[in-house]
Amino acid sequence: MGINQRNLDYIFPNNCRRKFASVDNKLTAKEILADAGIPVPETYAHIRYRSEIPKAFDLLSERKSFVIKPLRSMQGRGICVISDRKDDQFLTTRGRTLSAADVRMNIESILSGMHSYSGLPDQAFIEQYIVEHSAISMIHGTPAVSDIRLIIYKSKPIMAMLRIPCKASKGVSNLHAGGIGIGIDRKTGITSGGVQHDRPIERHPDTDQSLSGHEIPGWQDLIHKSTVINELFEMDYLGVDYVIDRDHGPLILEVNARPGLAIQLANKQGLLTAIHETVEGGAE
Amino acid sequence: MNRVLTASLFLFILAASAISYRIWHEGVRLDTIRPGIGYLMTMRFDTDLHGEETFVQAYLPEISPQLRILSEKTESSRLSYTIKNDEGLRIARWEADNLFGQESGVYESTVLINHVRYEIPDRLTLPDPIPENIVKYLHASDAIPSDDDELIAQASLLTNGHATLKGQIESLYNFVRDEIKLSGYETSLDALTALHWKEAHCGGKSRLLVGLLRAAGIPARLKGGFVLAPGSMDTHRLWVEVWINGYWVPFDPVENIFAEQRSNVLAFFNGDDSLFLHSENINFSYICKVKKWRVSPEELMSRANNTGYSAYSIWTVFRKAHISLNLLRILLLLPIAALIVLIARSVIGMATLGTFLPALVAVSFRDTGLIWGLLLLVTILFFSGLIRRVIDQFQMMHTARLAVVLTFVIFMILLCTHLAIDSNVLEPANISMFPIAIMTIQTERIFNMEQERGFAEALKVTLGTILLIICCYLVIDSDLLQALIFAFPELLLAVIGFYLVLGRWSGIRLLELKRFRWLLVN
Repeated sequence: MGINQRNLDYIFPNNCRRKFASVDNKLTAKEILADAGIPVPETYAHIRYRSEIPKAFDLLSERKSFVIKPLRSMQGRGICVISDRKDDQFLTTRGRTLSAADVRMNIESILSGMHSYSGLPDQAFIEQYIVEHSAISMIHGTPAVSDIRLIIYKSKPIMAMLRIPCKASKGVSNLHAGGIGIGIDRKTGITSGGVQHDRPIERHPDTDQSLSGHEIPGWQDLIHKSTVINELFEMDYLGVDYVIDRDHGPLILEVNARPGLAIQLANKQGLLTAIHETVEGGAE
Repeated sequence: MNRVLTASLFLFILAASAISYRIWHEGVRLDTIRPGIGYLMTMRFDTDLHGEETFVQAYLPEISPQLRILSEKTESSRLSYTIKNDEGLRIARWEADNLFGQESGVYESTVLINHVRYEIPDRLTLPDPIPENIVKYLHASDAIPSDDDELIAQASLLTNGHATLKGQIESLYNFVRDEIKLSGYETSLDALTALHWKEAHCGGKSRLLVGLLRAAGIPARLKGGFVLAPGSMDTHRLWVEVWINGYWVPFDPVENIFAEQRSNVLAFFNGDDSLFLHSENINFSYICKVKKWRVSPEELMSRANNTGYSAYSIWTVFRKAHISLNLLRILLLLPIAALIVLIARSVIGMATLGTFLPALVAVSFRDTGLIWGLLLLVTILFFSGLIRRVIDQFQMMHTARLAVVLTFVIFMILLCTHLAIDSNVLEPANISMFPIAIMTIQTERIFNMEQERGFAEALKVTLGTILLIICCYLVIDSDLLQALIFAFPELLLAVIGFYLVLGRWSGIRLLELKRFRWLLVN
């Protein structure tokens, strides 16, 4: 499937533009999911205006780790992960130490719209720091978090991939940044080989771990939860991003109304074939 | 998809019928506005004045159906001048009284001459009798003694055996072209001397040909003017016109022109005349400088309007509203450039900065030219990128940062204009038309892309954008396309039709084909 066909045949007919707002606004999306009983990372604070920053700092005073995110952004832009703090020194997963002023600056740049789709002013929110399940973190061997992208179409899981970070991607699991995409068998939850920069690879470049044969913990649970999401958001073609938390299992980070196409490379299968097998094939 | 196809088909048909209607019922002709190579001619004379009554007069290009004068002006600081028009032959006259010192006059015009080839039918004969107003072109004169026995004998020798008028003219023409050598120096020979010496310059050869034609009973005359070529000239040229089937048809044994109006032959006067006539007691010299001139659609349109171009024309509306023609050009060409961007993005799959940025920049390059435009673009992006890097250390907020870059972009544009005017290169001075805000936002985008996705990615997208700018420019710079759009703005309906089709095209993009190649193979 190419991007023209994705837009014309899947997104336009199935995802009404007016509903986009409910997934593009990550907090709304999380509320909808939480209301339906689907676990999401806990939200610590929501910052709409600069005047709310001090209040957010108060709320965070007891937290050693947290994640700052823009409300509307694409491809993981503008996310700042604080894994530890000593008084007013904040340690990021990328190994940088930030002062309270740096953190404040970070939030302000989110509010000014630096990472939003259109450059419009944005809001920020602060949520729970995820400690990844060891079954996955052992593949890349860093404290950074991987995520699982699952494409669901008309309440059927179509295709899944695990996105993990490496040194070349500077700790983020985004594929554009050089992260590794690994195909997942949608029935068993077991990984097959991966791709990096659109090229197939078999082993993790830093840890030399094989990329195939890993079972995603809680896979059946994850698939089961996913089947209601199309209905929840009233859109029939969605990409759902999960993290597997060490303690809480699969949590939904966000939902994407225009999921990318690289997942086909990670699974070495075209989306059209997968859709035919699961949805359209089943109907015949 | 079917609804879209129907809609676009409807648009294509609508455009086609509107254009056909305008061609057949309103008489719009692409010919009237088809661009071509014209010439910019500057004729300048210099003289000394001593206080007496003095005049200088000169023929101006003769008005004819084949000549389009796109612009024309006559200048002199102190001399008064008048233009007299006598059935297309025009004489400009500069006069001075009680003036002293150096004085000059300039005539400047941009001309476009239609190329016409005349076919002489074999059956064609001269009317008998020759019409009264034409008979004088058979008479003998001092320089062209067509009643001289020797000329008559030569003419009848040459025309003997040629039954048709065309054959006779051809035989006489070939004789003068081939048997009379072209002398390398200026001589003013009469027809007989040219025949005796078997060597003459353009004047002598032309007089001989006119003499032979007249001796054979074919009306002919001398024609004076210039054969235009880039450079400068200080003498005019003479050639021949023959009266055929009611038309005066040009022949030139020097330039090997047989029954043809060439697009570089500009006629000024008839007969054995001279270009300038002036008071006898003055120093006088003239020079005629010629440059090639690529005629722009605006000039063509303005010309078309002046000559009673009857069709409803948006150009006229714009002119009435005093809106710059440049704006109209941008408006009309932008949809074409947008179509190219659409193809590049949806069919090829190129990633570019901004959606229609390449189209906008390409259109603005029309003022600076492609090479200067690109140079300026790259320079401005590079330096504003440097500024952006410097202010990045201050950790300023987005809008304030943009404002700083914006101001520096304006500084750079002022500097470029200044440098350009100082060094007398005018093209880059037009940079003021450059879309400043666009440049600023692009600087920010490139910089952010470099931070987030790395230098290679940012460079790739920037180069892709520049490539697309070049493509857009080359397409919209086509004179024919511009003339077409100016004449038939209805074409834009068809362009919308293409948008519709491309907007519903769900095929794989070319670059996706490359990306997913190993998936597609399996």
